[in-house]
Amino acid sequence: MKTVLGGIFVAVVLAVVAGYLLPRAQEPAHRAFSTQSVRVGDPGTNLVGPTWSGEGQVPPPGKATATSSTGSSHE
Amino acid sequence: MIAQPITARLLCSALAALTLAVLLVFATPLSAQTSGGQPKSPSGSNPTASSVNEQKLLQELDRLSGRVTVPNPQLAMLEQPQGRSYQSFHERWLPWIGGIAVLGMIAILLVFYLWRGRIRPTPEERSGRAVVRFSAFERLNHWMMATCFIVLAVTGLNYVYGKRLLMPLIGAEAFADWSQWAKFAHNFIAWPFMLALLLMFILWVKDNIPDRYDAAWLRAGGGLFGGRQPPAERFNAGQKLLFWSVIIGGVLLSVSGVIMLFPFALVDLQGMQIAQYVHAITAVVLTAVILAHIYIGSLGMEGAIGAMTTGTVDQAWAYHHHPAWVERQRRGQVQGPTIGPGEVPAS
Amino acid sequence: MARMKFLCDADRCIECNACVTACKNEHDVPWGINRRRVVTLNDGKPGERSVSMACMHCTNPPCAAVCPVDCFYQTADAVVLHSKELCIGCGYCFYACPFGAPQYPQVGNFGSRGKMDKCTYCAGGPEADNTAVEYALYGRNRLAEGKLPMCAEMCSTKSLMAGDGEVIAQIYRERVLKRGYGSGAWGWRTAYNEDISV
Repeated sequence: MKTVLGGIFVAVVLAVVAGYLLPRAQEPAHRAFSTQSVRVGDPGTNLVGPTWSGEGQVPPPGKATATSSTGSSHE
Repeated sequence: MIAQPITARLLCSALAALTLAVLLVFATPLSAQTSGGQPKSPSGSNPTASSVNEQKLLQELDRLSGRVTVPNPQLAMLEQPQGRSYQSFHERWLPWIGGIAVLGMIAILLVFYLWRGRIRPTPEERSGRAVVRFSAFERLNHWMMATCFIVLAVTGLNYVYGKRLLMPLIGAEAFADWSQWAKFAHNFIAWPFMLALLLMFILWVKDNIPDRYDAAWLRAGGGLFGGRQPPAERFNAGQKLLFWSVIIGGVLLSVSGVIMLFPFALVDLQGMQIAQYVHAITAVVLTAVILAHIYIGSLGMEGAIGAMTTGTVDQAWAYHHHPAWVERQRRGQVQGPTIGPGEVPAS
Repeated sequence: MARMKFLCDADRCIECNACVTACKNEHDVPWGINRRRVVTLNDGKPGERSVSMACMHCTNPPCAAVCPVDCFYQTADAVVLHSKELCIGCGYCFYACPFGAPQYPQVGNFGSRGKMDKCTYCAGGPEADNTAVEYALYGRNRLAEGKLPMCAEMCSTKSLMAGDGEVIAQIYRERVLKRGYGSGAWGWRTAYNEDISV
């Protein structure tokens, strides 16, 4: 019985460690698909959400038409 | 004045020649058919004749790709009709193959149980004395593997059957939340699974090399269908088949799984599709095999689960089923698990 | 009811990328995500053709078929849309899509790629039409305002056409008849299982 619980425990612990390490292999699209000569200031958050996970966030009332800040970065 | 008629004749000839040349140059396209039977363009040119044709390219190359001005290499792919084959595999072939494998195995096990019942040790196999069969480390590793496999199988089957079987019961939102969790569980538990697979190979490969008892054991059907129990070494041929199924299947799953876990890091789009075909088919077949293993190790054979929980089996039972192994233990050759202090030796 | 399609006339496309820019601007598409792109075949060689490609909104869409959580749906206009609330970002739709339409915010390991994004035919998503929430998740909803997709509207040569399949097929047919050549409707056989005969 001890080995059964031990096996489950070790599996879970290793899974948690993997869960902590795997997201380090993650890279947002705006970093992966920029070349060296590109300087991406603010890549924007529309459609992808503030955390670039795809979970959107409703913009505050003043920006209902959501004019992006990327457009103004080249002024 | 004699030159004038000659010049005039020369001019006439030149004009005639020029007209003929012009007519010849333009007559050919004028009379030629354009590709696809399309009417001719006013200028006589037909750019389509020299351009790429979608169907011809697909026949030659299988998939179309070109040049894009964005750094994402995946976008250079214009068309891959293989996506439809992937759809067909994922939605038609795979659910059937998986269903037949898993449900078929459950049906076979049910029929076997109803016919044979629970295999119990005979009175000669109950000596009351215990012998160590699996060390603590072997048992820990086995249960780590078992936990991982069950989680992986359930969360993996969810990708294929979840929306068919579970979603109608709990609704789309709850099912999507569960699938998110299942996806993370599948990805994270895969790593202890791969570790357990490696350890299992190292621990047990020596005892799973085919030996001289295996052919006879297989011919006798392992004694499952009546008749005498054929002898074996530490592991009989059936157990060896299971070991190699798990190792080979596990390696296939691990490699294809890691490929899918890091999209396009190691292979291209076609590689990702193939990885999924290999992973899915191996997974459902191995799940069916493990269902049989779980059956025989728990319900199917009395005393079997004790071997993997407490680590010991009845000495007489061991001599009945694995006499060559017991003999080897008695001769003191330490090839099986080492007997720790306080544990009962095999003599 | 109209059956919405895209048709890119490869003989007219000049690779100006106005369609790409229009889409990016209209929906505020962040850097790295490309709903529409222009692919050039045989670049620099005779017979070079450029095709503007995004989601084709297929008949029997492969993406919708393989999705493990069934987050896709097809509207009455045959526009293929999906719900980002249900999407788990597994990526199967990208393997199934013959045209590479699905895009993901993250590109690394499979588990945390983020929710899929793709061309919506400027028709938004399951949220209420023309709300801020819909804009933040799916972009502008032009179809609800009775307008056609921005990419086709902005095409400088009118090579990219969007609208009812019958209408744009007829326009293309007339074009080919008048000018005498045409390399066909790229992607139509795979997407809609039909060709445009002239």
